[in-house]
Amino acid sequence: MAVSNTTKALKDIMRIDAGINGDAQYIEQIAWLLFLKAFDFKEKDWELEDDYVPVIPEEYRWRNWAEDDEGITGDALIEHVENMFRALRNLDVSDGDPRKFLVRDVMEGVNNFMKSGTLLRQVINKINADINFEEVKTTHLFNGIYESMLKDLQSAGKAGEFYTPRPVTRFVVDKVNPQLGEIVLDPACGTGGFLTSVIDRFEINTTDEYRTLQKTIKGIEKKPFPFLLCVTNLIAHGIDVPLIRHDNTLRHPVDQYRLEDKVDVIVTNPPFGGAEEKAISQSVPAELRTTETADLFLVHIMALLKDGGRCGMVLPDGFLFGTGVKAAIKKKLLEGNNLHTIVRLPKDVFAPYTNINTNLLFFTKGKPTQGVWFYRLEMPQGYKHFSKTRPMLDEHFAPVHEWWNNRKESEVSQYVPVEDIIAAEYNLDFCGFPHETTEILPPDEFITQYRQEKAILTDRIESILAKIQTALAQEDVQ
Amino acid sequence: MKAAELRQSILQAAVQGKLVPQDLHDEPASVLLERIHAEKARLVKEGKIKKEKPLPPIAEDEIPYDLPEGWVWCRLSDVGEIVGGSTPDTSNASYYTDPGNGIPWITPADMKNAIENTIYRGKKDITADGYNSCSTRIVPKGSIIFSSRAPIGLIAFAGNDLCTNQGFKSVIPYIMDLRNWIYYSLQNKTEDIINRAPGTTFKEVSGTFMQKEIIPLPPLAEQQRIVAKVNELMTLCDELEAAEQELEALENRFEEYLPKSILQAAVQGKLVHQDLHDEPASVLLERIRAEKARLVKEGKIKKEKPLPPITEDEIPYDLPDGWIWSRLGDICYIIMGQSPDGTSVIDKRNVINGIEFHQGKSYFSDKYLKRSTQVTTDPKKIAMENSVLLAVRAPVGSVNITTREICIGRGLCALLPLCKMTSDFLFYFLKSMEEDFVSKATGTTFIAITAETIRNQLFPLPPLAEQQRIVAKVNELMALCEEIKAVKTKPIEQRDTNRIIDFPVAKQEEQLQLAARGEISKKPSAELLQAIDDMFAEDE
Repeated sequence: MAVSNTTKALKDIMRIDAGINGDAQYIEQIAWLLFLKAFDFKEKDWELEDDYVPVIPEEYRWRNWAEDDEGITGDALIEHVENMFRALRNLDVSDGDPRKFLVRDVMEGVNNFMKSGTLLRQVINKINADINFEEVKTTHLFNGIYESMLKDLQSAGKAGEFYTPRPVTRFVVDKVNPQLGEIVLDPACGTGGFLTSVIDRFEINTTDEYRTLQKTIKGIEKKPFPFLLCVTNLIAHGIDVPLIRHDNTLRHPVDQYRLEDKVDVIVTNPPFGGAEEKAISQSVPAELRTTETADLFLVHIMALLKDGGRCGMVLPDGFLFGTGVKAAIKKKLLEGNNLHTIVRLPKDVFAPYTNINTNLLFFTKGKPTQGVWFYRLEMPQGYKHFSKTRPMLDEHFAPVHEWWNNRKESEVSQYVPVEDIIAAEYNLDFCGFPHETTEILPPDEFITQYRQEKAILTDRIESILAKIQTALAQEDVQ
Repeated sequence: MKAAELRQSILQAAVQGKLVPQDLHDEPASVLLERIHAEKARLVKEGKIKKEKPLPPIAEDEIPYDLPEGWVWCRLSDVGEIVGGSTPDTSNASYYTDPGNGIPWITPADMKNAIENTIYRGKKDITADGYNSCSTRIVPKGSIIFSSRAPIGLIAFAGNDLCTNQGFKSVIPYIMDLRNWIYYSLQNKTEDIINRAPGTTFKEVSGTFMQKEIIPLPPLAEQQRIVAKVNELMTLCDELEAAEQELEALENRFEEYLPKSILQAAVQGKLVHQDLHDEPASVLLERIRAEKARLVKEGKIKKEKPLPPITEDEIPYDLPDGWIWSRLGDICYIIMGQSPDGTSVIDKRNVINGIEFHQGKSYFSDKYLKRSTQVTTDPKKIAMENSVLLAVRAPVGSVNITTREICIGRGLCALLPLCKMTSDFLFYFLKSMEEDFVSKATGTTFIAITAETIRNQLFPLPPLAEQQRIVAKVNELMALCEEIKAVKTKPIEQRDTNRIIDFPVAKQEEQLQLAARGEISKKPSAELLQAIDDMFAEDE
């Protein structure tokens, strides 16, 4: 059954409830319900161990209050849920069990908005009917569910953060090729799209492999709601206690990363457009300071990678041709890393969230760049643009897959030696799409784009002014 | 543009000796001046120049500022010969020839063709006969060409030997090494010269006026250091100017597109949040159809032929939950205008029983239709109160709302939303479609949109309550867009200058920074952008 039918059905029930006022509440409500259901599912696994003591008190385990279609309902259900929130938020964590911390943290961050126990019962029954974690395949359904919820949230939402289409995460992960045992991090993990694409690649057969997997998938997410979804997502993908931190990567000074913070692989799509407070940019050295979050993430990623560590990430076009601070960041990138490939994605890959042109950057830390391969992935035949109903598909990456291991220059591909890039003052705008007629962007993005372009120009003006001042100061009058 | 002001400021510093340090080992300018005088005397003696009437010594009150040690004040006539120009009889074709065939001859209008501060020739050359027929004189290569009327102050080096019309008072330096210094000193005083120039409607400076002008004279070695520095800085100012122009273009694009972008988001349901409790638009559409059927039955409107179903291919973008695609012909009552008999149309003042008449978009404003001066006593087509008017004949696409009943001619189409839908939302939708309508218009002499095109136009129908929320938000945002435009014209004192402090500013250069950044900070202020951002955020 189609995922959108489930979300739509849930929404239709909830819209009648007086406590639900907007998409954000509706999504939060579903998120914690899913979390509890997923957690209970995991507990059934854990119970196979002999000495397992349940984390969630007996009466609040999903199987005991939610699973039965004819179970507790009406005001009694609301009261039960209120008690459950109280109990789970005050869970005794003195034994240091990370699973208890997880439950407590998650429940502290969410609320029950629904006022009608009868409607809540209907919602629970619908979830039980449509989502079954025991069938492995349905984990995909489950992904789909909250990705489609996320779409709801985003379609009315703000610029910056958006759901990365699965074909994109799969392509990036395929090319970065993480191995089981390597530590993989997404420092802006959202709902965990990249991380689950990594997990999906591994074949886990032995207990050892299973244990290794548990310890090596890491994520950091700043916003509470995607964080919760990410945790649930990873639980659904077989991670017992997801190592997802509810934190802002950009808050930590880059020069203070310790050896144990460093990772083998980073795959990510950092938020674009910059909505960070000024203090955040202080985490990077002065010459790399900017308000563009995507650029700041790149600086952090360079610091977070071990020598020889690999990264595949999404960045907006502005980074490629930007000057000033962006050029300084690119200089650092090229000098300390082998930026071997840039794939220029067709427009609207992220539709309907953003129409900004985006690129995939692939680099390995340690050796300096000799030259960069550029590949322009054209819009597939028969498509004018991607949309919610006609999104980008895995097969649309076929041409670049084919090119990847047998690289040749062509109309869509070009090799640029690093000297040429340096000579062009770190301009990486090669192999771009031919200029098209101006399309009208949504206002928030338009403002973001305007700010970026203005920042680029202001940077340029700043650097000219700095040159003028230097020229004036050289022979300062005594 | 601050680059221009910065150039002024650099020149100012240059002529005051503040750009490079003095070197006490340099030969003092007084000695240089002696040498120039000797050279001048030699030229007079050899008959190469005429002896001039001596000018009075420079008086204390002529001196505008103190000079550094080693510098002296001098008059322009001390350092160079001032020569004018003339125009050969324009009715005599033999005096003129194509550029390159004769003696280059410059008029002030030619000065815009200077390349890197140097002028080579004008639109016409003059022949030897032409040259001999008038009093114009050859100005040697390297001289400073300076316009003395219409307008005063265009300046360039002569790129080769040339002559000018009477609109110039050029300077031939006695020592060619002085030319760069003379150029910049003159450029620096241009504004001052214009201010003091005689004449009210038509200002002009004479040769004597120019001879008497005073300029500061630094030691030759220092001149060269200053000129090198100024050249370097001027190149940077050119870069700055280019960046400023780009910024300006960016600002202009932003102002133009922001409202369009807001409208687009509005009609795509991206401006306000959907409310799960709203009655879905599908239900609204049913009600509209029912109302239309009722009106037809009651004979209030004519029965129309049914519209074709909407196909997947037609749909340009995804709609949010609760919205539905419809056609304009579905959701409003459409009246194509028809012009009343010409004799029935009269000037308003003469009429008692008439109805306001609009032929086309002449009385359109930003949003609400202004009053027309014409009325008709024989109206053919009536647009009801709160109808949205669309211009359907060349030029097409403009929209307005009428707040009163009017008669419409064939340049207009009236769309009346049914079921108490707000005409504002329809108005904003049509406004967002303006360019689309232009592209859909047909016709050879007059482009026009047909009734069919309008009826079939897809319309994204939001729930009724959401329409109102969208309209409220668009109104608010449009007002903010207007404010952004207003920022440009506001005087600088009223603008927020606080953010300048955000930049690390070295104290001694603070003045320069302020001057150079005033321009940057005056455009759409951070606060306004924030306000717009906040408006988007409000609903979340």
